[in-house]
Amino acid sequence: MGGTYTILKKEFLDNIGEAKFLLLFFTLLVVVAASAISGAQSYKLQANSQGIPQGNGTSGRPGEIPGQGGNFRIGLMLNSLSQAITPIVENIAIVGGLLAVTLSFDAINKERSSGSLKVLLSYPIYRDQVLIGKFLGGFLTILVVAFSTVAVAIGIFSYMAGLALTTEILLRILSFMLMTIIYLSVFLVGGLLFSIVIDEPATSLLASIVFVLAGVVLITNLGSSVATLIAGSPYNFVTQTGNTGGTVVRAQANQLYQGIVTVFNYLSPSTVYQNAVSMVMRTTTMSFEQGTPVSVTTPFSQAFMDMLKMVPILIVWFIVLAAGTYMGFRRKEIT
Amino acid sequence: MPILELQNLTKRFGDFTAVDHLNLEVNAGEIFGLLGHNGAGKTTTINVIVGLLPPTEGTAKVNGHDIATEPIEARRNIGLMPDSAGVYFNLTGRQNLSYFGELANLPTKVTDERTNELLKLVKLDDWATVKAGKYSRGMKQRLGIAQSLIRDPSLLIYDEPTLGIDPEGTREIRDTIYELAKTRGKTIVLATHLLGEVSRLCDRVAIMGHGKLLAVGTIPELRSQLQLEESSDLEDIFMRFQGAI
Repeated sequence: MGGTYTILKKEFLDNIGEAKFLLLFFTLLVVVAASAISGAQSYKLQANSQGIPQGNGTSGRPGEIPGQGGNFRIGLMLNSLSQAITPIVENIAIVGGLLAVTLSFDAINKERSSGSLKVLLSYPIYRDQVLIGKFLGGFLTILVVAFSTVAVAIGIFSYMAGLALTTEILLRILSFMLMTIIYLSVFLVGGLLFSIVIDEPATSLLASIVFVLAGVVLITNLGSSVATLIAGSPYNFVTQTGNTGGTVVRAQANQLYQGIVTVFNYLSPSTVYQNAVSMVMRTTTMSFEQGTPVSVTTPFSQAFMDMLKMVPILIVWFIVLAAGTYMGFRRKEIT
Repeated sequence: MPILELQNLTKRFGDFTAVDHLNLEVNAGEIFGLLGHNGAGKTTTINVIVGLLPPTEGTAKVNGHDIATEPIEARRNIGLMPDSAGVYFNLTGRQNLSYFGELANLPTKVTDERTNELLKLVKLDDWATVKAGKYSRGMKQRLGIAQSLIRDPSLLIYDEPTLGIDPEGTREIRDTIYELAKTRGKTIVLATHLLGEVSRLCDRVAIMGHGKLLAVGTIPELRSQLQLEESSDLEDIFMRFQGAI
């Protein structure tokens, strides 16, 4: 374990001292801060325009949070919060993803090019220790990134929007951080894989960027394209009203289209992450009672469980990439 | 017992045989030269000995430990300096040695003492706080030598230690290697294609060509094996063996 800790420590110190990391970290903080400012403004506008009444917690009105001292406003405000932080989450998804791969895309091949990998592996340590040390060094950096990014975003947001940080909100923010850590870890291990299978750091950087773009944009876009090819264009689904046979066919096509898009969305780490955060930050959901839309309270425990349903998808991504990384490095012939 | 023992060591990359049934023994305390053209299989042999590459056939044992089945025990006895020195350019000379000392699980006090001693040995004590990226190639190689000594192994393996270094730097490295063997009793395997370096330093020589062992022995032994005159040097010997492929 001593070797792992030594490598972890060096990786972490190297990471936080590197110009490429500092540049991307600064960029991430700036875009997240900007998103938080604009989100806070729209949140305030929305709250003011709604003229939301205060509840007393015992009226049974939809939207109340049980056991929270009865604030009808809180439910609506947190839903606005969920919407308001969407740009923040989107920015973390892309800039954070890039930052995570930046930490690892050259972890192995750079050392291989400089010859230090040979020296490292000539020491009485196992290859697994090198790999785990490198990963944990990056993971520790990601903890710092996730904590500080979410803290900056929520700090600015709550200050500007006058949002009180109740226990309920803090728990949701902590869950947001947890999801961010898991999401960024997927890209961290992806970059590590490329640093093993690709010998040139410049090429592994390119592959890592493509991987981030695929995770953030390409998979979902591909889903829409595949769905259109198989089920037809969604623009045509609503044009055939009044024709009974035609309507059935269109409804089936629409179902097929949505099904394909959903499958691809589940494959996209970014979409899964954004959905998970959206779920945990949402305190009410809309439902219909006798044809009337009502707002139903979603307590934190329920929101957290909903979020956890998305976690296995990211875990599967992580495990697949980690297994490839492990096998690749174990079998790597160092010449 | 030999400190390094290679038996039928073979390494193939697909159809290409880089090392072909190599049999060698290196005894404790000697400077052993592994001599051959570029591509003769010297570096591949070293990579297999250290465990960076698995052998296709045969065994490599260090102090009796098979590198394939007892890699940790075998590596405890090895200090390696690859042709590119293998030090971290973003760390100072002192930080490099401290890092490798910690990696070898040495107590901090021992690491600090050895770091000071080794920086003096390789004449880098005045450069201890300068990042290795700012060192000349010769200085990086000397730091690489210090790195190879930080955990005090019995077998030192140096791959082309003076490649691309000016004559003055070459002499400094040569003197250091000689001192390590003669005053500290280290066993040194020196892979090089520089004949002068080998003839000045090595007790015994192995000549490799196309992955095969062509000859092994002291320079006088090789000379008599070829029935050459006393005046013939290592270059004559080397060319004759290479021509025999």
